[in-house]
Amino acid sequence: MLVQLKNLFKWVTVAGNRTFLLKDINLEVEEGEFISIMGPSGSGKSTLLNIIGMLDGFDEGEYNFLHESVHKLKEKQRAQLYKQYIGFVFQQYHLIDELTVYENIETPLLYQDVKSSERKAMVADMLDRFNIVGKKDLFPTQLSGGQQQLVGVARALIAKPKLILADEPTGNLNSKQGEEIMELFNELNKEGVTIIQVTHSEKNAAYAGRTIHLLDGRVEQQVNN
Amino acid sequence: MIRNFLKVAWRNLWRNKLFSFINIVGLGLAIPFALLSLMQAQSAYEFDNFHPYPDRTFRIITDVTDNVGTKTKYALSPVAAAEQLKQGYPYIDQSTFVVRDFGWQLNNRLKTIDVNSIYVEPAFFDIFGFQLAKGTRPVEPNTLVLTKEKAEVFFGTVDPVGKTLSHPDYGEFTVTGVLKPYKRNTHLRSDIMVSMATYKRIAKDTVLTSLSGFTYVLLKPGIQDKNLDAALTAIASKLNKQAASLSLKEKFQFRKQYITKLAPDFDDLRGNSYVESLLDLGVNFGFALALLLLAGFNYVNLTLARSLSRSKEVGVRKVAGALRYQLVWQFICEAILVALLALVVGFIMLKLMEQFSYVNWFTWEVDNKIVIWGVFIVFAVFIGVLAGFIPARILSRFQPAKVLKGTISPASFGKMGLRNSLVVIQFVATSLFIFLTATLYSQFKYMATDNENFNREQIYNISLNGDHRLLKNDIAANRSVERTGMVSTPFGGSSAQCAIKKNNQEQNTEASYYAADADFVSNMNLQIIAGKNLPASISDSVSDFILVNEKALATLGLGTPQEAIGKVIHLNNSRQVTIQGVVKDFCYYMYQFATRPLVLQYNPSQFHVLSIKTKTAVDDGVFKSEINSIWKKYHPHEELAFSNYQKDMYDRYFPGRDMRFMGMFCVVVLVIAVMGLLGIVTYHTERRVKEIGIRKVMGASVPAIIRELSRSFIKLIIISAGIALPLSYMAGYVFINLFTYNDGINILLLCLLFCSIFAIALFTIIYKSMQAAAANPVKNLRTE
Repeated sequence: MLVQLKNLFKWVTVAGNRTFLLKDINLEVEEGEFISIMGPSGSGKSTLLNIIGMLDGFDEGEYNFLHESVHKLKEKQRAQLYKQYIGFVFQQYHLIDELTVYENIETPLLYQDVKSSERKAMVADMLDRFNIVGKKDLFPTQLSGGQQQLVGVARALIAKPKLILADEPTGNLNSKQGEEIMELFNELNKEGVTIIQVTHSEKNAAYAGRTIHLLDGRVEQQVNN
Repeated sequence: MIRNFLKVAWRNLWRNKLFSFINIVGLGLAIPFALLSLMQAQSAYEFDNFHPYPDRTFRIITDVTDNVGTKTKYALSPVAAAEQLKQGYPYIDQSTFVVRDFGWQLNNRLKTIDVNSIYVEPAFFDIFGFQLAKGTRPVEPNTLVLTKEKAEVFFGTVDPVGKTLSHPDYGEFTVTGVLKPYKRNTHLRSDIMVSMATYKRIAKDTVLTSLSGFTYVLLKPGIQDKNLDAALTAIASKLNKQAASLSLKEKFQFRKQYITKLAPDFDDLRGNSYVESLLDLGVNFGFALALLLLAGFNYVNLTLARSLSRSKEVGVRKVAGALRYQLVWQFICEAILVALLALVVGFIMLKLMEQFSYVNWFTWEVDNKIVIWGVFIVFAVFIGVLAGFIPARILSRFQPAKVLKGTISPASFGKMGLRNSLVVIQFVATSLFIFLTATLYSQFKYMATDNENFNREQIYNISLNGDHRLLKNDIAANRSVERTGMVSTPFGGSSAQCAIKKNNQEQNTEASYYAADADFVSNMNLQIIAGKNLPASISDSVSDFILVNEKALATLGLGTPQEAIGKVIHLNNSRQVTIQGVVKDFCYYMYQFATRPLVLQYNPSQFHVLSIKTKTAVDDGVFKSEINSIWKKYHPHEELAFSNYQKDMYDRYFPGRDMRFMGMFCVVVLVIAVMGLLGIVTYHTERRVKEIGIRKVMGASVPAIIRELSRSFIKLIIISAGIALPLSYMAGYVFINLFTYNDGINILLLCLLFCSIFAIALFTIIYKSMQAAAANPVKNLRTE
């Protein structure tokens, strides 16, 4: 089992009142799954994704990742864990504007102490695979949204993670570009990468094997496609 | 990784050109002063390294223990020690004694110059690396050698060897030689070197043990220096015995110092002129460091104020697996890059300063360039780490989840109040400093160009020699000349003294004495408030009629000027003279001090200077050649000594280089203060970007938003002005009253300066607010 959430709660206290962002979430994700999380605005989708990605903490419950108890780890160990196993894709791409396509893709490797020659080979592979070799020296602002997201996905994949977390990866793209990204996810999933995506679109959700519907911080229903 | 850091840093700098420029220049402006201090420190280790026998030349220093057992360390030693070292020690090659005497003034007839002097024995020139460019060593009493620089000041292009200079107390000195230019970094630095024979003639103290000078020893080659230690112990015990027999309570102990290891002074020796002690170096550096801290603080503020633009990068890097320390390093690397670029700017600034505002109380060159560059670079890296550390810590703290969601405001450090008060303090200090500099400037300017006390305009002085009546008549006949007067020495330098008293029963009073004629008094536009000018005379004998100033009347108790006319006083115990007229008190020497009693008398034997007043302004060169051709008729073998009085006085009273240096410092301080303000304004506008967007959507006009944004800063500026104005006025008042003769505080200048400082501040605020107000609200309100 890759991810296991047990009775997970998260809340914020405003003016003495607890507002629950997540209530009693129980979720199990097996390796190789493709999961969509859906729900209206404010239902806790992104919060859940951030918790799974260890970018955000929670207040109660258990989170096991590859049999490690995440809630018991120190920040440094958590960073070690997610930089090794998790890749992120964002709606706003979040590429570093000062770096070229090549350097953006390379960044995660820098933080994993991969040797220079090895880095070069890995980035070259990735550029090749996504057909963006010609664009490797361009800066993010010189690319279209679809291309930027492609780079975003390439960056998420470069460190060969077990799990990809995507927060509305197609939200800023037109339908054709969105479709391409989803096809790519589908392919990756077939190669064995586990994917969890947050989406608003029924059509995109349908690419996944399972859809989890959230409402007001609760899991309303889980549907196997 | 480092390469990646530097790449990002460089691209960031390049993308925000304006901000990078401000940061680099801001730091760069503060750096030259630190570089100067560093050079100072290094040059302290390169002191006295040009002497021919560095490995066997020593200075003998003295530890004096008094009767209660307190030990005091002196760089000086008693002359007796030097005398004894000269004899009876076969391994000593040479030994010499040097006496320093500050505060000399020498006069070449036309002008008086302050000089530093040392008395030296002939052997001095064998032991040390001071070489003569021409002439011979000073041996006889009242002989001296000049530095090249001073030779030019006194004699211009004329060969000074054989010429004379006069000292108000010690009489005439003959110049026997001119020194080659020597390295400034020596504890023996001086403008003139006077023969020791002179000192022996004039020295008053004959106490055996008085620490009157410096003793130096040159050992013979190959002699171990412990021999010298033994000699010193022997001499000390001998001297102590002698001292005891004279019932002196002090005990002496001598130590040797290698001549190359005098500086820096770790012992904090007394009487160690020109050798910087650790404290001196520290104070020097502290000053530069304070400026640098301010600049560094501004860097921190500006970087943090713009932290939003970097927050996304931090978030992304953290998500990509960066640990906090890696981000901290990245930002520190960036700061180091900025600091290194600032070092380049700073070095260029330093060179510019050297070009335009060379002040000789700083060292501008060091011997070992490689070491100093190493020091500079290490220093820049240090500054980078210092300035980068706080922003790095704060920026790397950003939570990726928050950053990437876009719910974060720019970072800051310290409380708002702290930063506001820092801005106020910076502005108050800047205003104060600028105003004081301006006051200093206007006082010097006043002293340098003043014509109220005595007239300097259209006056030329020439030095007289022998019989001058025919020369004078010829010059007076020149078409440009209005009047020619005679005087012993022009005003503006030290004068001769005389003794006056009302009658035989009273004590003498000292007065300044000028031998002058009536035309000189007219040339100087002296105001005669009672009686008449000196009688016009061309006689050869001394006149019995004198002019005095009001101060002389007050000192002698001669009543009002009108009452004093015709009264008889005793001059120099020998002569009875009649007061013919009284001149209004005026400043004829030092503006700092109240005027002294003054006597002007027709005394042809003491006339040394011809004061020529021209009818209109004339060209210096043309007029000089005209006068020169007249001069040559009477003195074919002698050079004409000719000077423009106005220029002489300007040079005497206006420290041009120092003022330029101060001016530069003012600019730097102002720029740093404005940068501080810019930082804080930027922070505020960036924080309020969303608010501004909403206000604009609600229909606020651009001017309304500018008003809204700048209100709180204008308050800060007004508070600063409220503190700075009275404070500066007070400080200026205190300063200006150090001068008895002053120009007063220039209120207009004060207001003008403040208006311009605050206009610059205001411009900064409005500019920044305008930028924020003009931005498109749609862009700012979009969440992603």
